[in-house]
Amino acid sequence: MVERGAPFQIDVDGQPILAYAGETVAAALFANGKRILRYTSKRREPRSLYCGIGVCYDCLVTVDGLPNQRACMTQVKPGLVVRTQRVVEFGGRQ
Amino acid sequence: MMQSTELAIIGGGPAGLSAAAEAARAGVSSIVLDENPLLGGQIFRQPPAEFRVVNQKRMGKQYADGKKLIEELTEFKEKIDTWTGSLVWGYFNDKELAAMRKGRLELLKADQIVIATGGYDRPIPFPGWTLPGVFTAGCAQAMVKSQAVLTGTRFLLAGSGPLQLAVAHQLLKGGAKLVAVVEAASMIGLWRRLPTLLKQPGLLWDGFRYLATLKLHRVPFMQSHIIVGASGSEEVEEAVIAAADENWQVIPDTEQTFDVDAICLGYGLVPNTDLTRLCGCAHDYDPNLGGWVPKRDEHMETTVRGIFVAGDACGIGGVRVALEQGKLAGIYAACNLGHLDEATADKLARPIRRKLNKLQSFQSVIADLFSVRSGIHGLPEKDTLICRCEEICLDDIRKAIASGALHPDDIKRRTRAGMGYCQGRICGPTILRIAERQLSLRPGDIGPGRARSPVKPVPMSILFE
Repeated sequence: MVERGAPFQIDVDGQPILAYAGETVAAALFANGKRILRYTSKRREPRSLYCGIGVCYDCLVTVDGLPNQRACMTQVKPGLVVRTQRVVEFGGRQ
Repeated sequence: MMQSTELAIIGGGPAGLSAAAEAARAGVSSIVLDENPLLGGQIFRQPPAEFRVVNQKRMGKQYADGKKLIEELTEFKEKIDTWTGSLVWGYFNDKELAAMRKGRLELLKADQIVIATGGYDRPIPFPGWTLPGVFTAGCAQAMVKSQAVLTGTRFLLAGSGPLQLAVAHQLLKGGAKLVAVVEAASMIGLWRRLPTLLKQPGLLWDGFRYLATLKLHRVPFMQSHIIVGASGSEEVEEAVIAAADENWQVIPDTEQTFDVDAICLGYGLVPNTDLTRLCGCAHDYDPNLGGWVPKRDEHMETTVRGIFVAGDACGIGGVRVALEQGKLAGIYAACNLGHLDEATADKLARPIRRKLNKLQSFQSVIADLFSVRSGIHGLPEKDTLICRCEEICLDDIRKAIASGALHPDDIKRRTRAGMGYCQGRICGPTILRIAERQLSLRPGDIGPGRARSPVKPVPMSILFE
């Protein structure tokens, strides 16, 4: 039904991942089998997409150094650096 | 620095777009603000501009309807400015909006405002609902429709109402394997209401078509069943469902387990009332409209003069209702601005009202059949998270209520539930149900919680540019 846009690489947790122009960060990560996007600060539980439309803020990742960006609402671009969020980096309980 | 406009329309879905078109027809200049990179909202969601649509026909009716509506707007391009990628997060003084547009602050003073912010999937907590791989019907739909990505391989769909059938249809078309579609309501009531439903044969036909697709793919459709648990170490691996009575109370010893890697939850929608609450509009409780909804008159004007609502944001009614309500809001905003006199506005509104009345009788039957019954609110266990952002569990909330918190705002101050990133959009409706149960109140006796700027998080840095 659709053909994806131009392919390029993005960096996810230090690994190169193939993404396509027009995709969201969530789509690029899910297409590559990466569904865990962060760990929570209290229970240290894994989280992923929940609402998928920018309402719930569960899919938060760090994008080009800016923390807590919604993976479902952020567009990929060539060379984007995405970090899934771990508790320790954000001062949560270990 | 502050820009101004005759009319600001917040939300570029069916309601917002039809409001913009109708207002433009009357000569009004407007700005349509939407957080997404493209217009369309959820139901008319278009694939990204960078993707190429190779088969228009296979994209479905909603894609085509949305494309048509968006193209119609170009006819009024001198009158309608579109601010996509613009998140409205604040409301100050008299109709001053604060938005984050592509990462920068924009202040916008509007003479009139239409709030058309739609709805989102009703959150229903149960043990395991925060596991990766458990997401809403809207999520699965957005991912498959606009991104052409499946969020899993083996899906279980659980919820109530026609939307999850539509999602099942789309997932199957996208190549997913569905282990079951679990419907909480019993379908017996459907037959009794057939006469009303037959007044909208198109919608009824969609329903049957979706059920036929399930049959064709040998996907079991299990009515009077609900999902009661999800488990897995890091991601979801198992879904547990059980039979439920007509009050959606679990029937003991009826559990069945499915191996899955994705659970899709669709218990209907709730209106997104962030902005109407923020603007100080009065709200009413109406279970048939999805819960707390802004009060509005026949013109779609709220209790704050000059602020209109349309579409799911003022009560879940679906796309057809949204399109018509949007027109009314556009017409009467134009009237308030002096572009139309009252007699002309009323004349334009008459056929729209007739259409709405017809649609609403269908919608109320659907709402009545599939609206959430109270038994399902007994699913969370003591340590089940209710507030996903601040990680506040059922027990925390019950303790706060037991120690004297009588309102969602009190519960928020005592527990932090609703204070996190989502600002209570997800836990808000559930916290009301918990408080009502514990305090023996009826739905509508308390709530909704207060909304504050910023309704969605924005970086502090945008304030210092």
